[in-house]
Amino acid sequence: MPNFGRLLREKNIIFVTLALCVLFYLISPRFLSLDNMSAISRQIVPIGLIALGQYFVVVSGNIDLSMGMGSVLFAIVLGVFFGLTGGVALGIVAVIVCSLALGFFNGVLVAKLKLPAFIVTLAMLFSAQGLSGLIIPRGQQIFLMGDFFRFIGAGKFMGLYWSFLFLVALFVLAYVVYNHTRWGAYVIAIGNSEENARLAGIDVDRVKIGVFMFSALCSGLAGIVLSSRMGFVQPGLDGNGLLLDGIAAIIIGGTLILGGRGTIGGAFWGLLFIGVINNALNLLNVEDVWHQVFKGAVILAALGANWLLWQSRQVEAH
Amino acid sequence: MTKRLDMKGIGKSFFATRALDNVNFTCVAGEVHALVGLNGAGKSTLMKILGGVYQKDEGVIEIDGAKVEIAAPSDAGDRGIAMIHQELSLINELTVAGNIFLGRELRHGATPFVNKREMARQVRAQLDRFGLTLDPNRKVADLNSGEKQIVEIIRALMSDAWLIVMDEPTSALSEEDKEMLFDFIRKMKEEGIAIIYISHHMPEIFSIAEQVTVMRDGVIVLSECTAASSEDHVIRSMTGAELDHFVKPHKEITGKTILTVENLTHPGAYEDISFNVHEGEIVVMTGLRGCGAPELAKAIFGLDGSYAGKISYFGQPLKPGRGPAQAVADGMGLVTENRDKNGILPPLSVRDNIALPYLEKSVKAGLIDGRRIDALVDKAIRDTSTKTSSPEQEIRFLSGGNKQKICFSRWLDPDLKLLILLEPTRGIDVHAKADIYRIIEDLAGRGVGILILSYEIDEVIMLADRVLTLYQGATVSEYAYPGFDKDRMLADMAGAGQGH
Repeated sequence: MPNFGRLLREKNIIFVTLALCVLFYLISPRFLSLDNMSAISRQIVPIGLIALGQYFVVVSGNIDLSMGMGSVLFAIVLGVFFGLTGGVALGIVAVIVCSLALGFFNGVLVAKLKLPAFIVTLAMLFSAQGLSGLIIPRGQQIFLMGDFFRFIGAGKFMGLYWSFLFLVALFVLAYVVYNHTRWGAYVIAIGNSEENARLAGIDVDRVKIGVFMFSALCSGLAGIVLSSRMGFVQPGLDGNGLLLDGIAAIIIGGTLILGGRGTIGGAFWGLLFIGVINNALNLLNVEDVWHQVFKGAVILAALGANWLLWQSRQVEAH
Repeated sequence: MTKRLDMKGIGKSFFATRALDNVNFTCVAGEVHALVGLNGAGKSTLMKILGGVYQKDEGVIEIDGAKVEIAAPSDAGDRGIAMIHQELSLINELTVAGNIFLGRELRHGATPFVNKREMARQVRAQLDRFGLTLDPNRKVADLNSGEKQIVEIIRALMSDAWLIVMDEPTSALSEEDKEMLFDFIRKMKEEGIAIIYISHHMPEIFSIAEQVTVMRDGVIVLSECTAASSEDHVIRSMTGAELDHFVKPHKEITGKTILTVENLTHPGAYEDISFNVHEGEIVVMTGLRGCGAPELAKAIFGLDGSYAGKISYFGQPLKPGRGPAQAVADGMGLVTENRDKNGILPPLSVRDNIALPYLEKSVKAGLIDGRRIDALVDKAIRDTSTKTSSPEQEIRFLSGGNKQKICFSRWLDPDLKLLILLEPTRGIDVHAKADIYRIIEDLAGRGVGILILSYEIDEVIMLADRVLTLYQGATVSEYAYPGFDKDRMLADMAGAGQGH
């Protein structure tokens, strides 16, 4: 017989998410309709990309605050290339190159110059925001039209959005990388003790730079998905809201904010949790201001519970 | 058996201090060589030279008859020398096998995927070879200290180490884990591994080691077979033949009893401890690391309430685990053994660090009375002879000794009645030590009761009015001034004559 208490403790996010679904269903049966489920699956894709990139950064004991505004900047890069040439491929390549370069820059400052990731990426957040406004002045926008954007934004396969399937595939890939490759083990090792990882002969700097390049690449992908869905790009997009949703998802999914511990599965459930809340509050026509307050309260409750459980486990371990 | 390591005529100086002088040390395959000596005798300097952390000034290191240079820790590892430290270097969130293979993982052929099954299989084979049972797939975070130590040793053995250096390996182990470790050591001996075993526990040394070497003041004073030696002989060599003739002014202890500890027990830490501290009296607890004294001190200060027995303060029983705020309000003070972690607030100035406990009492109309604080701070700096360029200097730039004086200055409050000091002179230089001793004597002279934990025998004898020797959490004996017998105290601390 499974130990229910333990299951509840380790998989509590699943139960909380399911309970919320039931609650929202009781308030509005439309919540569990096929259409709405499908809408949630599409809404969570950009957040999911941010969460995935952020996951490896946080497990390595760092944080990347530039991911949200980075997405906006990369969406604008895509828009500019598309606007100038009318071709998509060049725009995608530009996004990949720019994002990897930005991640490399973040990573080098953190790994080689030993600057705190919080400071480096906070500076990058503001720079990305400024650059976005520089490229496209506020109030203006570039429209993205064509088959590619329609495919990414609304294409379906057997009733499921392609973008969602793509996200799921990335999570599976990340699961394999995290659990079954050296790189995954090194990220965990560095998050636990950089010194001990170095002593074991791991090239700590290289792993750190890689982590930041991956997170920046993820924000580039999030920028592509986000702009495709909306059909236009503009500098006023709420990149920081996206960033915070992504961070909340992985923390709710049991990733230790101090680094060194987390599961990809947990991060995925945390993402669903955020997706469900965002969607339900919209669906229930909660006023925007109250929307944020309610979301804050639910996250506090979930995170607070997680933190207390973690601490109680620390005590048991002694 | 063949001699594998041969260190000849090793010398090392740090500025004017001669840390090692003409030290010869050898290791034989399949034997345990115990290395003992008091703090500062040169054991760790010698081991750091072997481990590539320090460079020798003179002498030769030979491995299997060939001269080698060990210029960095990685050189030591490449030559098969492994240091197992007390602070283990494992990654808690990885598995046993993941840790053992960290940095040199096995993969499925040329794919990027790690072959966890093969790694676990190889680890299990090693564990079996030494008769150990441990699941290679368990997370290291879930292991106890003994098991973690085994993981560390297996990791060394699997990188082809033939010489294992263990520094006080049993200090954090339960009885059961000690047995497991000793069995493991015996098996390693059968496999021809050489072991350097640094310890002060006489019963352990005489049950596990073939050879024992004693260092004192940077030289080897004794090196012989354990079969031909004795606990007494080793202990006498550690302290030296000539006894220190320090004469402490005689002092009558006539004051009231401040603290009474009766039958205090906390399973696993200390057992059935009873003693008193009177006004103006300096009571020193001493033993080896792991003797239980820090835990005892924390119970008295109200940080830990899970004990059996009774603590009374001026005749009133104290509520277990009442917390430090209450302890301070009652007139107790504590200077912890780890000033950087639990003592100072590193980014703040000297002034703010000193002022912390006085803020409560220096408030006028809701605001802090800065002038009063300045006066208190100046007085504290003067009274403790703290050397700082200004009270605004950030404390983290001060030397260890000056930081320690500031930790003391918090408790110069006239309401102080009992001061608990854990390793008050750990890691500080001679001059600062003298200042600290003076502060302690001054406080005692004012009638404050003082309870000290010290691991340094000379300091114990110099300061104490009364000494309690502890071994593995139990009181061995109690000595009252002037009847201090250094050799007997050391024998008590080392568990000599208690069997294993």
